[in-house]
Amino acid sequence: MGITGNLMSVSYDQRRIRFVYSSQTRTLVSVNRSPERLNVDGIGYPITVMKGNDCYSVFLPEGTHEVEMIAGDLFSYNISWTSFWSTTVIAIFGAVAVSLLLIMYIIVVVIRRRIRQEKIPQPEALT
Amino acid sequence: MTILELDLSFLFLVAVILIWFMIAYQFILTCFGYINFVKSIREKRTVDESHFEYPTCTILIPAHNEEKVIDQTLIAMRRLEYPSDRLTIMVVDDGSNDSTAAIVRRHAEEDSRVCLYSIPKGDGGQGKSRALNLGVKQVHSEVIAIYDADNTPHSNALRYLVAQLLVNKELGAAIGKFRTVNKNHNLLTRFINIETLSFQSMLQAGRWQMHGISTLPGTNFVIWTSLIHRLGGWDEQALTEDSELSVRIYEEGFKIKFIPYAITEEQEPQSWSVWLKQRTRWVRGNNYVIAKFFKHIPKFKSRRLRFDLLYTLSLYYIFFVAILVSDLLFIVSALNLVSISLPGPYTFVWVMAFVLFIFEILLAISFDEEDGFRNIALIILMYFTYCQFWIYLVIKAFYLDYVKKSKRTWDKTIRFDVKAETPVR
Repeated sequence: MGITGNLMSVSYDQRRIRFVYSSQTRTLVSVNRSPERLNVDGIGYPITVMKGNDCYSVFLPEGTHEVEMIAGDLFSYNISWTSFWSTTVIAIFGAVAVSLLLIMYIIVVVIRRRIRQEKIPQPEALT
Repeated sequence: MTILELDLSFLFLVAVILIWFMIAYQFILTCFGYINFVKSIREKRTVDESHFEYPTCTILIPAHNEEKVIDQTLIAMRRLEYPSDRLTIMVVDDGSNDSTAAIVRRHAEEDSRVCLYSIPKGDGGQGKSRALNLGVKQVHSEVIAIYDADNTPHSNALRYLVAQLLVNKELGAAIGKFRTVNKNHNLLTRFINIETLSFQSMLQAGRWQMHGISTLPGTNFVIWTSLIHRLGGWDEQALTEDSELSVRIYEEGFKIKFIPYAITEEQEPQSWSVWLKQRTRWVRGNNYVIAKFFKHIPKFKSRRLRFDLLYTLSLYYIFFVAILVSDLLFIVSALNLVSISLPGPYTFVWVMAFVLFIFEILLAISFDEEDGFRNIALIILMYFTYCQFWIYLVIKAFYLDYVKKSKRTWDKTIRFDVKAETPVR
């Protein structure tokens, strides 16, 4: 997200951006997904999206305002949601799996050592 | 995000999830392989302490121009711990035009258990399945053991295999483990050594332990003679005749057990050209098996076999496509042609896939005490090099089978002189 005015605060999740800005002139806001809905100070605001090379921009009114912007369509939102949660689950699974493999490997090394010791004749047996 | 980037992101996400499904299954198999390793230590002790009335057994060794290796093979066979009066070692000379037959005859003169069956002129050199089918007709024993002509089994291998047939009535066949006799020859043979050991410890032992399924390898296995007769022998059209036979054994209601302590040493390709030919044959052989049984999968009596064949199919095609898509998207992203920005810990996920690969293989080769530092370095190297050739092999086999539709012909794997490397046990 890029903004020409003063950004006072910002918070966002997968699809929604909330921010407060202040500007004496009109402010240009750029985001990387097409804005679908815009609320300025809690009221719906008409949007005219200008598409750039790799961003989407909208003009916002002068003054200090609280804005809520919903960007991206439902399909891209679902992809992002699935991506985040599936990779998080995969990452946890991966970490657990590697730990288990490490434990099993240590057990194998211990078993092998024990078998090797069993094969070596004890001093009493030699006498 | 443009529509193209959105579509590619979707494709990438699907590929990542599919790849991880396969990785997760592979991990489960590795865990079961570990359980099998622990159990087999106890099982081996029990077998060693038991006494068996061994049945008559014939070792069949198909041989086509094997003068470089057959002498060592017969020396190892003659040292097998098996009641002498119940063992026959039959070399099936498949139209050799070198000194294979002469070497076998020399052994036959020294040891009455060794005999030579020469396939009549005109019938020879038509592949391993054909040689085995002709050889089986000469067998009168209760059990048949199959060994490739370059194999040097450990002296107790045959005894362990047959003991399992006697103990488990549900078994139609029992298979042992093979190790690479020329593993220290060059980088390729070291890679093959790690690959074959991990394949056996994860896929063979893991599948057996998990759902009672393993696949006949080309060598070091025993099967009831009556069963092979009932099944009508080996499929002479199949390039991987043993995986094809495995499916029919399970469909007949029998199982194939993996015995990790019944070990043979075998020679592996020492040059990339030989390796490429051998592996192309294997992938084409698997294509044949999938094509032959695909329509029948829903009718299979064994649900586990159904799952296993579908898994093989997934491994060769679905997993393959996912890997290909993921690799291609990685390349186009690296070249800055498209940008795929998806939320999630992707770098960590990739690192985990890599670390899991290393640990799974490390665990698998540790069963055979091959987990030295050099092999750990080789596993890391394999991930980026040797494993990637698999993509080329699948594409090549697919092209030959389904685009060019070229005839499936048996390519005999070229042998190398390994007398100095062959351990005698």
